[in-house]
Amino acid sequence: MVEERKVEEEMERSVRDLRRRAQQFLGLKVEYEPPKRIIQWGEYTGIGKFEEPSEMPKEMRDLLLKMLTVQADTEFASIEQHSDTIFTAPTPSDRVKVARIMVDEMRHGWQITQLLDQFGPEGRKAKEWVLAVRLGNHRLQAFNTPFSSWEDVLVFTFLVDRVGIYQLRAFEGSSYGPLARAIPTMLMEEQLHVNFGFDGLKRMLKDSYQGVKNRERAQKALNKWFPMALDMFGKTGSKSSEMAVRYGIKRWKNEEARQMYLREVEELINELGLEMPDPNVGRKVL
Amino acid sequence: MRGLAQVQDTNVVVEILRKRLDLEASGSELYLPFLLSFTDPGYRLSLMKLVAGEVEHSYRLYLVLTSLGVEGRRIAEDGFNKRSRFSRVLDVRPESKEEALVHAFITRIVSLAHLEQVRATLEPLSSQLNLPLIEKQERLQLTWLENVISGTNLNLRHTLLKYHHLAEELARDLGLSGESTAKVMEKLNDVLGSIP
Repeated sequence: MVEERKVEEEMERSVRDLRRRAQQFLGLKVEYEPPKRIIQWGEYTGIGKFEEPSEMPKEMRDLLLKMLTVQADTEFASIEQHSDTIFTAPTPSDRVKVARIMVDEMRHGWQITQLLDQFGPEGRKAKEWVLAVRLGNHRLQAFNTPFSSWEDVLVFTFLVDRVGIYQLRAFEGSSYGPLARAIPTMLMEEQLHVNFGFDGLKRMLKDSYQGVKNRERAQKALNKWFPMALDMFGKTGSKSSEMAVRYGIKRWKNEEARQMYLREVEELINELGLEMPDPNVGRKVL
Repeated sequence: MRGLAQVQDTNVVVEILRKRLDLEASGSELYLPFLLSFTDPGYRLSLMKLVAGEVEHSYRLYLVLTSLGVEGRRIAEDGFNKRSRFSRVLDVRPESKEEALVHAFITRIVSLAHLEQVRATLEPLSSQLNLPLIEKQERLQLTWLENVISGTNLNLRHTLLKYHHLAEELARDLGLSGESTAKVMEKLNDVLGSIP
């Protein structure tokens, strides 16, 4: 452990040097994060991250492939859901934001399919499935449900994209290096999406002319998407989830992540002045 | 609006902006339905970027038009809500992803020629519209489409021939000069000639 600590310290010093020299000689003020080259948790803590699926035990490789397939599926599925919104969003500025969200999601999908390509024939098969599947056949119910109103769009980005943030955060620092490195940009973009949903809901609820009606509409959409968002975390006590943490693929087990999410959204729902739905109602994945 | 005061003939400018808005706003409507037909995620991403670019450009045009009085606002709302289009070419609905690509390619060539022709007239509004950025993005979109059309196995020769006449029609509806139209057709024929 002493040797590993030394490696970490050397890396931190290099990052400080890089920052200082960028400012001194290039006039650039840049924040660099030390790259995490070592697996941070789980069975393989302390060894170098996996860079190739072929380096992993089969059980881990199969599990990672399954998780990446679901992740890619959600990215492309949300584009399908948003497609009409680009024409129906209430203001031109909202349409621009929706278009930007769609580009982000498309890029995330593209990025994950690049990772699927690394998994050989099985990965390519998974990629083909991801690119062919349409509404009604996606892995998660939240992505099989079309938007039927503007508040659906806002609540979806507020709740469902926020689950996406938890999934990405769980992959942040993953033992699979290429995935870990893809996460930071995706995370920041997803944060933009959830802010879009939250701000849109605030704006909708502030509308004094339709105040009461808007509140009812927002609450209805919240109640509709809330169970689907919670289901996205997966089953409590899932063996795959435990295995994913053990292999260092993701940071938290399903239920741990769901509870953190619940704490966060409760605060935000209160801030909106809406009623927190019962987390046990309407759930299909327990 | 500082630039607006320098506009010599508001009616001429409004007319140009109306056509530009139609051009930009129709893109998302015509191409988006084919987005998920592409089996290559890279094509999906590039096409999505093209569509988002169109939406952003329309928004800029919308903002400038709404600042040009009641008539400008009416035209802006009309253009954004696709109530009418100045050219039939923008109502030609592609029936496949190949047709969508070729339609986008043709409209981009003509659109860039149009931008070139009206640049001087729109100069006072250039910063509000961010014309250099629009032009740069459209040129990159054209590069991508040209590469796709001439460099892939999508076999777009037949589609390009089918849609060839649309370029002339759109150029006429936009009021492109004979010289500009000739350049457009030359470019189109060059690409057609490069397809194996």
